[in-house]
Amino acid sequence: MKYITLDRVSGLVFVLISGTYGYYAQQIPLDFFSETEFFNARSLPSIIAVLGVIIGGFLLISPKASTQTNAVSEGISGQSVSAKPLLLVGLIGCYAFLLPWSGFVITTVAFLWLAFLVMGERRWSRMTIVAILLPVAFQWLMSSLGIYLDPGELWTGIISD
Amino acid sequence: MIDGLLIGLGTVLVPENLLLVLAGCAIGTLIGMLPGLGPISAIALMIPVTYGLDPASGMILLAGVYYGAIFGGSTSSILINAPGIAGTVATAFDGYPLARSGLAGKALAIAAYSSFAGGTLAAMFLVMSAPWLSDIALGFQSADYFLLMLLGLTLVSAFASRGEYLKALVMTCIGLMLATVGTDLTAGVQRFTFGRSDLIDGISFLVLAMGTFALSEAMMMAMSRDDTELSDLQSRLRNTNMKVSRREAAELAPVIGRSSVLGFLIGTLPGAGATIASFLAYGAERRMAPTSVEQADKSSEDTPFGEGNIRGLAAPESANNAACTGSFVPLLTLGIPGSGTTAVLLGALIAYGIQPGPRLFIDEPGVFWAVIISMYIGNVFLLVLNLPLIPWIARLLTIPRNYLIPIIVFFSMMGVYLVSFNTFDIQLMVIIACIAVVLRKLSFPMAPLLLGFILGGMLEDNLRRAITLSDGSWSFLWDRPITLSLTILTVVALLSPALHISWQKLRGVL
Repeated sequence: MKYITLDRVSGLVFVLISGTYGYYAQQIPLDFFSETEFFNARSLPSIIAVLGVIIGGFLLISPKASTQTNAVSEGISGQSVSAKPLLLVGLIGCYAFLLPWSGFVITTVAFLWLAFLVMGERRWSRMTIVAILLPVAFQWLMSSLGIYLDPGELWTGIISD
Repeated sequence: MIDGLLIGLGTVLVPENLLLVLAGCAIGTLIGMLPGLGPISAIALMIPVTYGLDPASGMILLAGVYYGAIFGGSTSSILINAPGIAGTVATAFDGYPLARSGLAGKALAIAAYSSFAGGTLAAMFLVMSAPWLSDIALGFQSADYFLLMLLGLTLVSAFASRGEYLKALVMTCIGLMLATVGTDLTAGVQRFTFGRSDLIDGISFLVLAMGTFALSEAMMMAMSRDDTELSDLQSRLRNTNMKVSRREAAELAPVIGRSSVLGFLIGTLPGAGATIASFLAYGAERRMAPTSVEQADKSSEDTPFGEGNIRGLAAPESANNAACTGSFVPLLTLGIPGSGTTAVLLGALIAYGIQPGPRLFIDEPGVFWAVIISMYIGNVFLLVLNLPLIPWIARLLTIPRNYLIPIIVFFSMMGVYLVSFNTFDIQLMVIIACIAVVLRKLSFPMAPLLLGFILGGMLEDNLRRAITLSDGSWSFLWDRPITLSLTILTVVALLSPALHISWQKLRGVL
C-alpha cells in the first residue's frame, strides 16, 4: 500500500479525466469548412487533453509521490469526516431546488435557521432573529437597488387564485 | 500622463466614487479580517453589487475591496495568528509575538503605516511604468500575446510552493478545460455542454470563483475544529496604544523603502504575487539584520526576528501591499492577470464589456486612471479611517463560527444567483466547491485553476489567429526575437523546478 499514495491516485484520476476530455473533444461537431482549417473547435481541447495526460502521468510517476508517507490508507484513516459540511451541502441543494417555488424570503429564513442549527447553534431566539432579519434586510436592500427577487411560484399562484 | 492623472482625479473625486472607495476599503477590511476569506473571496462576493454601477465606479469599489482585504488579513495575522491569506503569513512571524507581548496597538499601527507606504510608493511606480509598458505592448501581435499568456500560466506553476509544481500544472489544465465548456464563438458549435442549455454560455467565472474560494473556504471552516485562541483577544485589544517612537520610525523608513521596491517588482511578474514578495522581503531583512554580537553593541532594545521585531513586521507588510499594486501592471497594460485576485478583476472588467490590454490606456482612460488614482485614495482612507477603528473592527473576529459560516454561504449563493437568476448556477457552484474542498485537502492550489479558466478563452483566440496567420505552421513560436525570447522564457519557467532539484542534488553530491 506504501506505493499507492494520494498524489499518485490524484495523478491517475487526472489522466483518466484528461483521456475522457480528449475523447469528448473528438466528438465536437465540425462542419466541412472547419475540418479543413488549421485550427478549429477541437484543436485547443485536443492539445489540453494531451498535456493533461502527460502532466497527470508525471504526477503518477514522480519520485515525490513514491517517497511520501501519505499512503492512501494512512491518509484516509487520519481524516475525520465531519457531517457538518455534508449537511450544509444538502441544505444548499434544497435551497436551490426550493428557491423558485417558495420564494426568496421564506426559503432563506429556513435555510439560515437550519444552517445555524447544523453548525451547532442552540440559542433559539437569537438564531431565529438573525435568520429572519438578514433575508428581510437583504430583500429591502435589493428592492432599493431596483433588483427584483421573485416571491416564488407558490405565493404568486395563491395570489392569482 | 498629467492629462491621464487629471482624468483619473476627475473620475475618483466625485462624492459617489469617494464613497465607493471608502465602502470598498471598509468592506474589504471586514471580509479580509475573517480567517480563511482573502481578497479573491472578498472581490468575488462584491462583484454582483458592482453590476449596477458604471465600469469606472465598479472597478474603484473592487480596487478598494482589494486593498482593504489585504489590510484586514494582516489584522487577523497579528491579533490571532490566523492569516486570512498566504500573503500575510509572513506578517504573523513578528506581528503575533508583538501582539502577545502586549503591543497589539503598536503592531497594528506599524502594519498600517507600512501598508500605506508600500501601497502608495507602488502606486507611484505604477503611474510611471504603466503608460510606458502600454506603448510597448501596442506593438504586440497575437503570437506574442499567446506566448505571454502561456508564460503567465507557467510562472504561476513555477512559483507554486515547493513540491506542488505538478499539482499547480494540473490545476492550470483543469482551468483551461473548464474554459472550453460552452459555445465556440468562432465556429458556433457547442463544446462539452452535454445537451444542457444552462451550459451553452459556458461556466460563469463568478460561479467558479465563488465555488473554489468563498464557498469552499466556508466548508473547510465547517470541517475544521475551532482551535483558534480567541480567549485572550479581548485583553489584547484593550492595549490600543499605537504610538511609534521617532527612533523606530527612523529604523523602519529604509526597510519600508527597500521592501516596497522589491514587492512592486515581484508583483509585476505574472504568477509571483504578494506571498512571494512578503517572504522575500522578510528573508532579505532577516539576512540584513545585525548578528547577536553586533546587535548587543548597537542597541539593547532590538528584538530578534521571529520574536516581535518591528522590521520583521514592516518588511512583509510593505512588500505585500506593493506587490498587490504591482500585480495591476500586467493586468492593465497587457490584459494578463498576474495573480488569482487580478484574474477575478479581469473577469469583472470583461463582464463590464471592457477588454484590458494596451488599448485600455487609450480607449478607456477614465477606467485606467480611475483605478490608479483610487489606489492612492484607498491607501489614505485605509490609514485615516481604519487605524483608529482597528480595535473595534477587530471585534468582528469574535463572531461565532456558528453564524459566520452560514452567512458566508448565503452571500456566496446570492452573489451567484443575482447575476443569472438561475438556480442551476447555485447547484454548479456547490459541485465545484465540493471538488475544490477535496483538491485543497490534497494540497492542490486553486489560483492556477482560476488563471487557466480566465486566460483560456483569450489563449485560444490568440493561438487561432497566430496559427492562421502563419498558415498552420508553429514557426511563429521562434520567428521573431520577441516570440523566441518568450518561448525560451516559457520553457525555462516550465523546466525550472526540475532544474532546481537537479542542481540541489548535484550540490549535495559535490
